[in-house]
Amino acid sequence: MKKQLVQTLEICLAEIESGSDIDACLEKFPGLADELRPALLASVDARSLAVEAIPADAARKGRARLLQHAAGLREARLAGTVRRSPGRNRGWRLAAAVLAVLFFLATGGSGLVLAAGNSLPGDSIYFVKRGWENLRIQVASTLQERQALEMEYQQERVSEINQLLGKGRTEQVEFSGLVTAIYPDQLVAAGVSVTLTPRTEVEGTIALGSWVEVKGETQPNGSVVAFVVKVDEVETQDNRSSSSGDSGSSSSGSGGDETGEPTEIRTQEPQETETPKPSKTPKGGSGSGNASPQVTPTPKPGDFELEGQVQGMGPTTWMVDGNTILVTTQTEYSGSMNIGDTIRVRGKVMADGSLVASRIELRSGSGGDGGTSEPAPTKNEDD
Amino acid sequence: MSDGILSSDRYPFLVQILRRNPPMSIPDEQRFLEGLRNLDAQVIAEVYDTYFPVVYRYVRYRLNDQDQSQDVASDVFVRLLEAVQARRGPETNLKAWLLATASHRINDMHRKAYRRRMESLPETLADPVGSPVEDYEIRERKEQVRQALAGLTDEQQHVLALRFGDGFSIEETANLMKKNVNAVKQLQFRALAALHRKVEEVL
Repeated sequence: MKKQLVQTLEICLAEIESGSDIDACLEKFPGLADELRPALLASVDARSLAVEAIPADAARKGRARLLQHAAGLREARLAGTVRRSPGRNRGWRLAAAVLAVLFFLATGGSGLVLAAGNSLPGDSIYFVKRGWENLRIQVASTLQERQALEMEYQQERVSEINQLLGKGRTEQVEFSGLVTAIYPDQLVAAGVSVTLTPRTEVEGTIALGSWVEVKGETQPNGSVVAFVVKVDEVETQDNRSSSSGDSGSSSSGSGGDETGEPTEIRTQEPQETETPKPSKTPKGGSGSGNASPQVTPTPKPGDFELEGQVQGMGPTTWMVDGNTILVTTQTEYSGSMNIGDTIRVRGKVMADGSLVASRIELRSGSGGDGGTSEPAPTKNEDD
Repeated sequence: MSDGILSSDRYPFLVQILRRNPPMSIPDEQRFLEGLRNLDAQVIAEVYDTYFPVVYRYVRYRLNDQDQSQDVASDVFVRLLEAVQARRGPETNLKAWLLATASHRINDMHRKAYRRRMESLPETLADPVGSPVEDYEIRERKEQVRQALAGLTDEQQHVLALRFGDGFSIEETANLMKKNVNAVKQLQFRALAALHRKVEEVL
């Protein structure tokens, strides 16, 4: 009887999915109607929770994060060495690991470790989380495992920062990542917007593709004010050598990069400087050197519109025909866009010359693979 | 395919879902796995673009929080990359691995009581894309169903998310769950019966 019931349920579910209603289905199976009705009513409720469309932001941010992570893994593989965590030496790490173990044993703290797993910088039990991470790295049995853990925790640092920024909390943070965009007094590394001030201590030459270690403080405006930015020359060197010759082509979605180089936002030296539309080529931040993009006059504040090919898509910045465009939660999107697509961008030129997009519209696709199959809905202002 | 009386009058957002994902050919899947092993950025992006919608829908179905869902869904792909690098990744059936990982992640979160309380104010619930003009009664009902869903076992939530969240057929669901079809049918029945009971309790 039970088998007949579940089989009949499946038949009715298929009929409801095709447009029939529950009562019509149950009329065909009167002997099972009483048992089937609750399940069929629940199936309607279950279907009502299905997500109809995927927010464009959701796909884009995750993609950028994944590609950033892949770039880091690739660099680690090329380097073939254990990446040192910022500011620590082996003796300190070992001491921290021993302390963490002792604390764990003293407090029977497995529950505490679990509770600390979601803590953020500034939380009282955050030190437990970091101690546990250090311990795991110390006891890793292979180099590969150790590198994987360090990569995982680097991503965790970025995730923590994003959570803090989302909550509007001001806390001291540290993280490391690849520089993917540079503006006057600001850079983007690991998808995080980092503000440089006259008091920021910069060690090394910051340029696109640099691997930097940042210590700073989260701000309510969504960026991290940097106290220290240190360029990891070894990582930067490997990153540059693995992507030499890349003149700014993107590598995903449009099949542009045969060498499989990481998809990073890179500036492309503009082919023309006399374009009538405002364009801005990011200049190097403090201490920049190698990637000297061509400087164009800072456009005047006002509205702008430009049409071009998407060369990079980050969580807060896009690269379009060599122009760095800032995207915000207020940016409206029309169409599902990927690297290589031609888009039209409208927005405002800010006082510092940065271009902030209010609307991005797909003009023509590159025809490459990937991307969500559903068109991204236009965001409403009240979202 | 047209909406039935039930769907149009009482459940205007009942969508006849037939999101059948075309079966991945073996050469494609092997190419994906090879690209993941080689950290080929183009292939990694392709893998992400191919599977993210399925994973996101699944995660969003089970988590009542858009931001969390984004984080968890993208985290699944990072874990895939690391697992492949560490030789712990899938050898076949990438989709099943991704959804299983998402399920485990969500189950872990539930165990850590990471989930936000369902009693939070309706206006704080992030579901703007799917229902910008939903009236209050429908949103209330969905909330009650969400609360009820949260009270089911992990496996029951999993089967409902696959069947009704992602719209997989019973055969596809069985393949993803690595169970036989009859077992999935029975699980589905128990899950729906339990969901109905829980919804009645919430009302």
